[in-house]
Amino acid sequence: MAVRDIVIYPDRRLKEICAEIKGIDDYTLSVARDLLDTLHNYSHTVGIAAPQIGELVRIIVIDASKNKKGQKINHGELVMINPEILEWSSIIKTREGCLSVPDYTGNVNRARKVTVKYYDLDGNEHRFDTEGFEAVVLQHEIDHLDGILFIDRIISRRTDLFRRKNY
Amino acid sequence: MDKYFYALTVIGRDKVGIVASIAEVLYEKGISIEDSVSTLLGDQFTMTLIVSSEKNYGVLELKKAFAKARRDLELSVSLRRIEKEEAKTKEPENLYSVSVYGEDRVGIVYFVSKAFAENSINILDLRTRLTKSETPMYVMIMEVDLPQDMSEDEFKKILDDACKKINVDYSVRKIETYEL
Repeated sequence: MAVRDIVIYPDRRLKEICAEIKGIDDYTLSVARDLLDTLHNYSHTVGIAAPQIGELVRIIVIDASKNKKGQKINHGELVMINPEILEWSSIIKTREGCLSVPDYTGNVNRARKVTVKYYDLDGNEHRFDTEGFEAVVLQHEIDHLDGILFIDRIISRRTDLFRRKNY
Repeated sequence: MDKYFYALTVIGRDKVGIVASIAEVLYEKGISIEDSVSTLLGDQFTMTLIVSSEKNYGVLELKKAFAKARRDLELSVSLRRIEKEEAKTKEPENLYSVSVYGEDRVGIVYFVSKAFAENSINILDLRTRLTKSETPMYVMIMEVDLPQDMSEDEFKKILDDACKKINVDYSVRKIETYEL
């Protein structure tokens, strides 16, 4: 049980593909516990992925209810093992920042609605639909498990106003 | 260690290698790019940069270093010294993205920016484009920072008044940063 230091880019651990959890053992439980302790330690943080505390396994914790943008639609505090986005639809543009990339924000396209599947700490499978802020949080944190930072998803701004191709 | 800061702008007919030629000069002189934006406007490629150096180069000396790039690629290069404080962006307080668009006419940028200036609304980013359609359409996309005590309704009223004067459409979206 501990608040852990956040791994900051250019630490290579942020660019690794994390290992699937095969069974809920003491190690899984301790990573989940540390993720929650660390999440609680930051008043404005709504999600942390295991690689952000240096553990290269597929666990994230989220709590979209901590932010006023997540008030309407959220599933509260969740520990999610092997989370996976099954379906998505509709695109929104968000401006994101990240604890692991201090002092930088960028415009990112995200799915507005997602269906997510995950396992809880008792090994039970869950799935739910969500949208808006919570959907963005999920995509951002699940990206961490594949070594993807929001910077990888930024699209050059000039394309916003680019001339349409002639047909 | 003290650093010395310069504002550098480059513009010229677009061709492959402009960025590389400028970056090469900076690299050879041990100069870092602190902040920059470069883009193609029409067929002119333009670079605007804030650069820093640990060595205190004279402005003329540095300008001379660009002579070859300027000549080979037919570029206009300008350079001036800036203070350290001018190299850092202030934290914005109340960010909005604004789109203004309509049939092209003289004064769209003027009337909108004048209304903003009169109300202490600071423009942080501005892009415009004129379409080549039969009825040319003017599009103006901005990122603005409102004074802290200005409400969204007040802001919309200011923009609405300005846009009605010149008969253009507009929309406003608050820019929210998701700290994840």
